[in-house]
Amino acid sequence: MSDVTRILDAARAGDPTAAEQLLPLVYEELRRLAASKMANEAAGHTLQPTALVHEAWLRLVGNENQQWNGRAHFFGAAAEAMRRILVERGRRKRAVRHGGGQAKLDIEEIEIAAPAEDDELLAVNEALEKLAARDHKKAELVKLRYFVGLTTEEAAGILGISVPTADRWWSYSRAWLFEEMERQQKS
Amino acid sequence: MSQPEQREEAVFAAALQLPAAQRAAYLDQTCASDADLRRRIEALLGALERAGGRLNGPAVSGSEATVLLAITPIEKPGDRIGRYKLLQQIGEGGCGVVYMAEQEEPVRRRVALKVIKLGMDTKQVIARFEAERQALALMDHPNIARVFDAGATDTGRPFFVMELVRGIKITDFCDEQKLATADRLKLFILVCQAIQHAHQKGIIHRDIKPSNILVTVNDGVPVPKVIDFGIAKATQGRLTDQTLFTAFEQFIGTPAYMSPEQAVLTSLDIDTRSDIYSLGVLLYELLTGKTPFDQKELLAAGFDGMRRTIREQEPPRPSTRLSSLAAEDLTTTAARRHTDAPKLLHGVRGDLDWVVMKTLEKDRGRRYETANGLARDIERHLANEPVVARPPSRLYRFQKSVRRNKTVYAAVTAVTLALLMGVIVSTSQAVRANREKKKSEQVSQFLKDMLKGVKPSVAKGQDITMLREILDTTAMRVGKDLNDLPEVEAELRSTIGEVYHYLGRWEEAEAMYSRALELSRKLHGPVHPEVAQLLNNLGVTFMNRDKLVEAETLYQEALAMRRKLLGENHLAVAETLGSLSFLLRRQGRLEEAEAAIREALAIQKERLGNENPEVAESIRGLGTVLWRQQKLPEAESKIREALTMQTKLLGADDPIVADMTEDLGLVLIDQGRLADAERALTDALAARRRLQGDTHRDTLSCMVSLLNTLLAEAKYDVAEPLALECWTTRKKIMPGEPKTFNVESIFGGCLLGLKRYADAEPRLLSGYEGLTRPGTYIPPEGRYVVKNALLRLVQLYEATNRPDQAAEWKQKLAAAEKAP
Repeated sequence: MSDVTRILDAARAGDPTAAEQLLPLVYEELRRLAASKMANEAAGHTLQPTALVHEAWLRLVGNENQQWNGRAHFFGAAAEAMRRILVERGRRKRAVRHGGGQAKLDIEEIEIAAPAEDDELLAVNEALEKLAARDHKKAELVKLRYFVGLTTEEAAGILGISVPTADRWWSYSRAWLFEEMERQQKS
Repeated sequence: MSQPEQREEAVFAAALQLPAAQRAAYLDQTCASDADLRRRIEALLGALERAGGRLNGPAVSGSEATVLLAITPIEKPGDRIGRYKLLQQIGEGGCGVVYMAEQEEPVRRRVALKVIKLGMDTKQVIARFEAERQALALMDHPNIARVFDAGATDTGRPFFVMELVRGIKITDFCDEQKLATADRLKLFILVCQAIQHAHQKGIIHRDIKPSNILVTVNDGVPVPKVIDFGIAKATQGRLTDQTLFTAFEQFIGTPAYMSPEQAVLTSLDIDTRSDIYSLGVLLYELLTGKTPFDQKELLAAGFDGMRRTIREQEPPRPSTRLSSLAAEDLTTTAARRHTDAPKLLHGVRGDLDWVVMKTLEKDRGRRYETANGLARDIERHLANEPVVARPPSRLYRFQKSVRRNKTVYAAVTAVTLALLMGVIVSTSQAVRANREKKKSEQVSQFLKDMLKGVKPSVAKGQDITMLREILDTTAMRVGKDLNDLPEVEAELRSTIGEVYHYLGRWEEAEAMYSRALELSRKLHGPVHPEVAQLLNNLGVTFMNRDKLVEAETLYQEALAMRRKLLGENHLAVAETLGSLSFLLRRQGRLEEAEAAIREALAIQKERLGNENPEVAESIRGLGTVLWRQQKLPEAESKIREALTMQTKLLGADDPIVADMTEDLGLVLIDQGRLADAERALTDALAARRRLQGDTHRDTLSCMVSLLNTLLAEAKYDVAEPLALECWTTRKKIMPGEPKTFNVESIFGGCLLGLKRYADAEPRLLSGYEGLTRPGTYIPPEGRYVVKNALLRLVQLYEATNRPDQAAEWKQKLAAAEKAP
């Protein structure tokens, strides 16, 4: 707990490595939470990813720390964690589906065929990296919405922008990402 | 963000605010001097439109995110688990992730650390491991990777620590090195010896498969190492039905390597012979590059289908499997074994086929008893000595051909015993009469016990040629060799009579019973339980040869004798009452039949309880009588009662159950409940196909019942392919019979319903003509078949506007309806 507060403080103070340090903590907390949900809750119970992340946030930093800067870093790290997990899984499944991949991954030992959405997810991710290079903040917004599942309002609060701005960014980012994805597909 | 980008975003946002129709005008104005910008904005707007609803929600649903987060490995190189420091991930399988790790104390060494995926009760896994830890510690073999430790990670997942093996799985190793068959066998022998060692220490592996046998090369010599000992047991443990499905996906992982007894999944009854089976699968794969059952097909068959295949289906021999490969695959497979296709096949055919098939026996009692036994047989093969698993004898082959189900297996035992009896009978002499008599009696009793098995195998239409041959020979010899032993002769004739009885060879059965009755009367006098039994049995043969009056006389005599000797409430009395009821039913004396069967049922319930196969059979008999009396709802309820009971007692996969399901369908048809009838008959047909095959007479007649239902429901499209199948089959196996012509007319009826009039006409005409050919006898209860055939013809000509012909057929129909 004190670690987290210290890292968040450092992040607020402008330490560029703070976010990197935060990520493993978020990673671990999210997983522990998910595992306990899996173990304790009845099958079929749906838990929104946002709720998971919120809970992780509360557990890590407690209620008292409500300054947006800390939250933004935390949620950014959470979004990054979710993104990495999804992209990693998508890549692995695609590798298996295409008959490539590591030799140690037997077809018999992996989940049954990857759904097509994995392709889309990987395409979005690729386009998102380009968008991030051009406009970091909009990419953050996409990550929060797409990978964490926040609403525009929630994401706006975390990024410290107004809701109409967030809406405008969102429309523009979607259009931009799709155009980029279409271009990738053609080439 | 650059200035042009900012402008692009602003113009895009403004354009998006406008109704689509006004956007062009806005862009004309705003981008007048900037064609590039305009192109960009239009591209973005277009993309957004094409995107539709995509990318709007989160990438994963909530529950999926939970699962994903939970199962994605939390450990990473650099982390510590207990006293182990993870160095790098070296593998990932169905049930866990394997890391290379460093242990610092008490000794500093590198180990393999396997973290089990989520979904298990960690405490139980560790407890089960602890229970076997001592035995595991006793294992010390160069081809076994040692298991050092187990525990729980901070996140509560079980992990195992093993000797680090830097190798690749055995099948890959053999293929990469292009090892010849002989070298593969030598490697395999080492694996067998390792397994033997473990078995001697009381450890069963339970999960032998290529990925658990890694090959390393020491000084140029390949050394296989079996890994994961103790882990399958600790992680599989007890599987309940509820966890079965997840268990299937999560832990078993490799159904292709699972032994039939493991497929049952009660898991209580696993012994070292399950490992022998898995070794057999491994050997199969090393030889052919394929597993006996295709993994994908097993998975595709669903859980139950998979279990059935593993438990019941005989896999092809390795050489057969190889020769059925596509030429290209065979060439590749041969190349991987450093040889060509003909040589590969030649090397596998014979000895190795037999060795492999012996390890893959469904009945583990027929497998090699030990892994060493298997290894030694392979050594013999390599040394060109004869193998123990030599080609089976003729009798054995016969057994193989029918052993797919247990009941037939029992019939085969009867054959064996009959053979044995033949030997005894032929050596029996008056001098040794007494001893032989005893033996013969034992054999006779045994043979009788086996009859229970013969009956269903007959019902299933299995090949019983050999049984018949032996039976006939024995029947002939009984008269010649046993003249001086009337007691034994009577006993054996009675038994053989019963076998003929179940085979439906009434004439032979009658001859046997008659002679036995004669002998029995001489031996025991006219009133004796034995005599009563023979009277009863002889009555059954008479009835089946349509000598109804004679049959009734015998039944009444047997009934009176049994009542007198054994009392009113004896099961033997019930037996005769049941037979009598059947006879009365055939004579149309339905009220008497009902009374008889009700009395039989009362006795059986009192003696046998409410749930018993014989009780079920009598309830069914009662149902049938009620049905004949047109007491339909009551009949239905009895048939259902009997069906439920027999399903419970015999399981769904039994010919009797199939019979009753069909009866139920028929009684539902009579009540006009077509949808229910269709369901029951569809079930019955599926069961018959499964149990008796697609071309069995019973299967075909069940098809006809279903077809009648489907036609009544006007489901012509469903009926048509079935009708075609039924007709084609019947034409082949029973040409010229009325039943075949009936199906032809039904097939015509389907075509008629589908408005394929030109196709329907020849079928309808030919079907009707066949049914009414001179010399064809159709019993009164079957006359509706002819009427239906006529009705279809009338409908055909009416539908095709040929009033003259329609009128002509209407006249014939009217005549048929008037006929008695």
